[in-house]
Parts: sequence; structure tokens; C-alpha cells
Amino acid sequence: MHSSNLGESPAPLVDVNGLVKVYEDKSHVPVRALSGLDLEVQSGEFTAIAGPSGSGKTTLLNLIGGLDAPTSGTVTVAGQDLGQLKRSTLATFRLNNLGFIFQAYNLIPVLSAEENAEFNLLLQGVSKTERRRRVTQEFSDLGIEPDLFGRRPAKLSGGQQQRVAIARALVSRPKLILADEPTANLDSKTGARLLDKMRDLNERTGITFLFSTHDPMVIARARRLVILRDGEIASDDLRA
Amino acid sequence: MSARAAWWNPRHFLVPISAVAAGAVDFLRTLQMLGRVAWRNIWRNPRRSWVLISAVAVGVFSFLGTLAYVDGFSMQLIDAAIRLQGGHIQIAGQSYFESPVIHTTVRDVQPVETAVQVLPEVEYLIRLAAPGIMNSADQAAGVMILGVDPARERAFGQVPSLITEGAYLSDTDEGIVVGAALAEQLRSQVGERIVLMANSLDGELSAAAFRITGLFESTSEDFDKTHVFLHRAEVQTLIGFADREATSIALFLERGVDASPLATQLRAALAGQDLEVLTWRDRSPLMVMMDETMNLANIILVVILFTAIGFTLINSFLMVIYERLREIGIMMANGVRPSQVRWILYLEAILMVAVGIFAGTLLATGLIAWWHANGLDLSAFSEGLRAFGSGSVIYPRVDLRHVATGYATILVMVSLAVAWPAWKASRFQITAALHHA
Ligand SMILES: Nc1ncnc2c1ncn2[C@@H]1O[C@H](COP(=O)(O)OP(=O)(O)OP(=O)(O)O)[C@@H](O)[C@H]1O
Ligand SMILES: [Mg+2]
Repeated sequence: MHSSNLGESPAPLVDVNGLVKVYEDKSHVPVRALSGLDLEVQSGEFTAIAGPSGSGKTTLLNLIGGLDAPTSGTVTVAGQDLGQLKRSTLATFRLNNLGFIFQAYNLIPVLSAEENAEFNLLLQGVSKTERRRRVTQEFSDLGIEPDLFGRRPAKLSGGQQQRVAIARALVSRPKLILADEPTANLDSKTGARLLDKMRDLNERTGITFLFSTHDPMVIARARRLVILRDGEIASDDLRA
Repeated sequence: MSARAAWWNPRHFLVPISAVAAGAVDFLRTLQMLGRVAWRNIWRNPRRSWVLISAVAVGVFSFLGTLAYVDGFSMQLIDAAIRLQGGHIQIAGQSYFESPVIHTTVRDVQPVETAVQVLPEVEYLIRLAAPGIMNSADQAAGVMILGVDPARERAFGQVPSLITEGAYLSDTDEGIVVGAALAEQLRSQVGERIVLMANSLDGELSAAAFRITGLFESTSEDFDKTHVFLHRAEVQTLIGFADREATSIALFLERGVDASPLATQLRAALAGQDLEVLTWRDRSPLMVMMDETMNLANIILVVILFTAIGFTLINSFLMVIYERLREIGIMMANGVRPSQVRWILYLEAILMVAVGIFAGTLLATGLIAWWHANGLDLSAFSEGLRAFGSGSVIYPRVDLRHVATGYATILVMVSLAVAWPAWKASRFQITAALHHA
């Protein structure tokens, strides 16, 4: 092994090794969602994972996010082998290192937009003034008007809800944001605006984004495109 | 420094202590947010919550009402027994309670009276006591002869109110009052003469004749068969007691006053006088046990009242966790720990129950206050009640220790009821929960 060689890439933020995930369907037939997948994601990437429906995109993102355990293989994020963590330490790891944006219904219905956005900060024990500061900052960056701050999710549009979810993921300063089809429920204009915003954030702050998507707009903006087919990587291209 | 001596080094304890403190701070900080989610969750389905809250309120109301009634009734029973058996506090010569011989007496009642009179709202009776034999024309029975002050007995004693035939001793009367059961045993009637025989202080056999003026009937037939009442002066003459000598001084307290601190105060005031001060708790373990049994009966009452409510809670929380599957998944994905998921549900249940307890307590307080002012008149059943010696009007009694035990039992039951749904919720597979839209 070489150590500290100039020119050698630093330790990857995400290191997936020989990842296998086998589900059982309703009639207990094994379904192979991922079959021995290897993937490295460097810090600062803005990467899209695409591929046909059922190719394993969501499964891969969930395993990288520690939301599920692999059948075999390892997932290492920020130097931590997720398989070594108990449920509760894994939760704390997610809190401090990861942000999640799902397709829809990301928010806690009984909390207002503002309370949803500061949810992770409260769990982290960030002070009230600091919480206010970061949430207000993020909301204004994402174009969430002050009259929406106190609204519950049911009174927000799909695009507004997604923006609040992005704000929640961003305010806790994670190393990696995992976004599973974040634009699928949005009209193309709203989707495009949010994607530009995220790419802008990625450029300004270096936060790593990992998308799973079918959306050509996401694919167009990604700087690296990984295509899955039947639980394996079919192609992996860096783009301009 | 040797390694052996280092184990107590405070630095060794600093790490675990600070870890525990940090854990506590972390817990309290997140509790605010978890509590907010829990509180709002209650009002998502107001109808369901109100049904639960009302059930708890009705349960608490029934519990407190029954408790106040049962405690009041049993306290009246215990109190009646205490009054019959010689008061809440008794003062006697040193070692009299252990071995009651007639030579062991309070030599001079004067300082004892002085010490008792400074206590607020305490009544007392001075008594002489000696064992003897009571003879009718053809029967005899062993009895405890009690020499009393009739005027004071009529004012504060129990026996004058228990007369079933004839009358209690008058101030000048030289008669005797005996239990109805004893009179029957000796085949004697009111107005007939009996002869009392007893050993006097100087060891001689002493005897005198008395006319029966009245018969009494208490809750205890045993007591009735073994206790007879005379003027104190008659007993002095019969046994040879001195003028200011007494066997015991019996103190009677207002209902609900704790005897122990007063007894302590008296012990201090009477120190060095060769006297013994005992409370009814010291003297009557049986009554103490009865008092303790009430506390157990309480817990059983709560368990019965709240078992149905507990099952309703289990049921509605099982519904709740499946209704909120998606958001539980979202919270866990964002870093909410399994224990925190459980806490949200515990807090939701506890807050809801707290509202119910508050409402039920408020209602019960109203009832008990009204009832305290008016009493519950059970004179329709007073024949039966008389046998218990409680009197025919029952007043509620709120024993805070019993109430607290009841509330604690409610909280334990609620926590047990929510434990299973909460555990289930915290074990959800996150991806499966997220799948649920
Ligand atoms: N919980 C599950 N139980 C059983 N099979 C599952 C489960 N989740 C996913 N699968 C199966 O695993 C395979 C991969 O699914 P996955 O959701 O990862 O695909 P995807 O690429 O995200 O698809 P889509 O584009 O439709 O979201 C599919 O065949 C799917 O049916
Ligand atoms: Mg998917």
C-alpha cells in the first residue's frame, strides 16, 4: 500500500464494496436487487444514478444511507463502516453526516415549515439563535417566503415541501445528501429551479450530492452519471 | 503514588459522571421537541383523543371518589376502635404496656396534665385500671376494672355513646357500667347488684358491691365482656391508689391528626419522670396493618378501573403507529433514535393521561368538597353501620399517600400499555416505513 502519495486520490467519501442485496418477494422468492456492486464517491461530487425501473437505484441509496442492511458487502461512509454500527449509533451517524430528500412527503405533518427545517438541528442540540439564523438563511436562499414559515406541510405545495426538505437536509451541514427522485413529483419548471439551487450549493459549499433519478433534467445537470442495470453498474461517466 | 491507592481518584469518576450528565442534557433538550411532536399528535384525531381523555377522567374521578369514601369510612372505623381501646396516644408508667401490673402507675397526674394541656386540640381521659372478678348471684367472670371521671368520659369517651340500656355513670352515681354481653353472661340486669373482687396494692383481697346503671355494646364483644367502668374514686378505695395516681392517661386527637409528632413532643416534655408514651400505631399493629391494607386495596382498585382503559390505549396506539408509519420512517432516516421514537409515543400517552387526570381530579375535588361539607348520611343502613362503630354519617377522607400511590399506578399501567406499540414502532424497518405513503 502506498501512503500519502501526491497525485493519489484521497479516501473516498463513499466506498461501496461487493454490495449484494437480496429481497424476498411476497411469495418468498428471492429478488436480487444489487449483485456485487462496487462504487466510490469522492467528496464534492454531484452525481446521478440512473437506470431503468427496478435496476436498484433506491436500494443502493438506502444502503449508502444506512436505512437498510445489505445481504453482503460493505458500505463505508466518511471512513465509517456502517455495518459496524448499532441501530441507535447509526441513527446518530445519519443525523450528523447525512441528509435525505425523498420523492415526496418528506415532512412531519404536525410541524410547521420552520420547525421541520430545524428538526435535525434540535436533535443535534444547536442553539435557538443559531437554528433561526441557519433556517432563515436557507429559506431565503431557496426562495421560501416568510409567510410560509409557520405553515404545516398540508398547506404547502409539492415544490414548497421539497424546498423545506432540502433546507432541512442542508441546515445540519451534512457531508452527503442522498436524494431519491427529488423532482419526480414536481413540474419541470419547479424541478429545474431546485436542481440549479442544489448544484449551486454544491459548487459553493462542496456538499456531496447523490441522486437517483429518471429525470433528464437531473441527468443533464449531473457531473457524473452512473447507470445501473439489473443491480450492476452498466456505465459510469464523468461529464463536462 | 501506588497503583493500588489510585482507584478512588476523582478523575476516574469524572468521565462516567460527565457522560451521564451529557446524556441527561441531551435527553432534556430533545424532550422539548419530542414533546412538541407528541402534543400535536394528540390533536390530530381530536375525537379519539377526547374519548381516551374522558375515559381517564372518569376513571380518576371514580377512583378518587371511591378512595375518599373507603378511606373516610375505614378511618372512622379505625378511629372508633382507637377511641374504645384507649386513645391515639397513651401515657403510662414505665414498662406498663409490656407488663401491666397495678403497681406500675403514673404517680402524679399533675405534670402530665400540664404537659398535655399545652397541646392544641387534644382531649384526655385519666383512668385507673386493675384486674378483678365480677360476681353475680350465681356466676363469675374475670374483668378489667376501669376507674373513670364520668363527666370527662361523657364529653370525650366512646362508651357513653354506646349505652344500649340504662344510663352511663352520672357524676355522683356509685354504680357500675358493664358490657351487655357480660351482663348476659352473668345473667344480670340493669338495677341489679354485682360484687367486684380485686387484689389491692398491699396484696389483700378487696371487695365491694355495685348496682348496674347501664349496659353498653361496642364493636368488640371481647371488649364488652372484659371491661367494666366505675368512678375513679371507687377504684381508688377498692385498690388503694393515691389521690393523684393514675394507670394511664388517654389522649384523643382530632380526626386526621398524626399522633407521632405529638408523642415525640410529650416524650421530651415528660422525660425523666419514669413514664412511657405510646401511639396507637405502637400499641396496635393490627390497626396499622388495616391501614396498610387500604393502600393495597387502592392499587387493586386502580388496576381494575384502568385495565379497560389500558387495552383501549394499546389498541389506539397500534392504530396510531400504522397511520404514522411514513413519518416515523422519515424521522428515523433523519437521525431520530429508536428510543426517541418510543419517547414520542410515551409522551403522547402521558400527556393525554395527564389531561385526563387533571380533569378527573378537578371533578372529584368538587364532589369531595361538597361531600365534606354535607357528609354522606347512611342512617338508612345505620343498624348495620352501628355494628362497625363508624357512626351513620360518613365523611370523605383524602389521604395524599393513597392518592399518590393511585396516580403512580395509573402511570405505570399507561406506560405498560404503550410499551408494546412503542417498541413495535421503534423496530420498524425504515425502508418499509418509507415505502408507506
Ligand atoms: N422491500 C422490497 N421487497 C421486495 N422486493 C423489493 C423491495 N424493494 C425493492 N425490491 C425489488 O428490488 C429491485 C430493485 O428495486 P429498487 O426500488 O431499488 O429499484 P429502482 O431502481 O429504485 O426502481 P424505480 O426506478 O422504479 O424507483 C426491484 O426488482 C424491486 O422490485
Ligand atoms: Mg426507486
